[in-house]
Amino acid sequence: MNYYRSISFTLIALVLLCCQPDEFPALGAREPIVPKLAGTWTLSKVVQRDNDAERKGFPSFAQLQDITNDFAFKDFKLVLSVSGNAPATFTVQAGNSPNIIGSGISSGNWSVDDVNYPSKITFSGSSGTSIELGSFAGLNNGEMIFKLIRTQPKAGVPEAVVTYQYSFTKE
Amino acid sequence: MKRLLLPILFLTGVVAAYAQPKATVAPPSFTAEDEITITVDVTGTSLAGYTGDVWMWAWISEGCSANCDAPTNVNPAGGASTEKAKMTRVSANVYSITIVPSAFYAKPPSEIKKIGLKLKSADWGDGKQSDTDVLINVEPLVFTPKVNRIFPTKVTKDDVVTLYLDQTIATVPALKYELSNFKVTIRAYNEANAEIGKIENAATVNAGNGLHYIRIMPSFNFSSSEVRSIKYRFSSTGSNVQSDEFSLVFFQ
Repeated sequence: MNYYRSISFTLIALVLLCCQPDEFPALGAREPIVPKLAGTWTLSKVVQRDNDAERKGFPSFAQLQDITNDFAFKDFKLVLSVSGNAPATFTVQAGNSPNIIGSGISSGNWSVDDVNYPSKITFSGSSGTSIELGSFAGLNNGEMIFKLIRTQPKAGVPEAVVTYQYSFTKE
Repeated sequence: MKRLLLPILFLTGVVAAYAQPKATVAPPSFTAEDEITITVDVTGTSLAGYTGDVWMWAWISEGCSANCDAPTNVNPAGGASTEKAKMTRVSANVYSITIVPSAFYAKPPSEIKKIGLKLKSADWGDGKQSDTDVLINVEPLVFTPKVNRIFPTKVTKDDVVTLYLDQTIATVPALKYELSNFKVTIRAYNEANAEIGKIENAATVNAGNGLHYIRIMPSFNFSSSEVRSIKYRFSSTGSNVQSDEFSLVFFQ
């Protein structure tokens, strides 16, 4: 009996002595976002939101519509190139789709508001429209979301009236 | 009688102490998106006879879940942050202010069902205020179906706009009960109101239940950046039934 007891105590002591707090690995450098934006992106879904109807609490059919299939939006391709970790040039291949970047803009330079934490993309020549990066969540899976927000001044302050959400997939 | 005099005087004092400000709103029925003028008579309140500047302390008393105070609720009042809540003295003891509730409270209309307010001098510590809360109902914004509803409600020439024909609420029986599909003719106009393009007899989508629609992007469909407005009319593919001619002006 004493034999088993001493064995048990020894094992417990060994387990307790072996327990050491885990060391957390270093977080490492933040993975740059801009290079992940490089590539050929094809428009896969377009959703239009009536912000005014949304503010007024109108029924959902008066707030949101999926308009992907009403124009040849899926023809639209956007080619983004980078130089190291910085944005460089872009090319639009609209096909039969409306050019969502801006009518007549087929190529140029693109930039972001913050290279480390980009939230807005500006395409040269597309002044007057703000295209926001909707989400980074899908970038590693080849998915990107743009948001284009149309505003109208109200009491001197810009107010969103129409928002487009463009979902892209990477080729 | 002498025995009754004291209680009567006491009760009169109590009533006077709790006199309520009289508030009127023009227009009397309004939504959170409408411009309204609130007029408050503070006679009988502790603010009566006050001659200094007066501000409105305002909040949303129904419909709002968080941060329901107006952004101008700063005490003591007097700086730029409270300027929009400064009352105009119409006459002795009567004050007014003109606001658009959704802008004043910085909240969407769906969160503004009832508003509350009090008038006060610059500092609560002055003891000069309208004593009791004034509560005002706000009419809900109601979605109203239309024969020619559009989506979205505000569009530019570069937006996708859905033009609907809702037969179910048409008043003309021939249009209301027409069983065929519909086509649409759309004319585009420039700033000078000159016709610059036309889409003739384009097929519409029959969405069922008397609802038909077509989606266009004016600058794309008319290949012009000059489009400022359109006029359009639906017509039956099976008979001579036509809708009214509708017009739509795009914001810049």
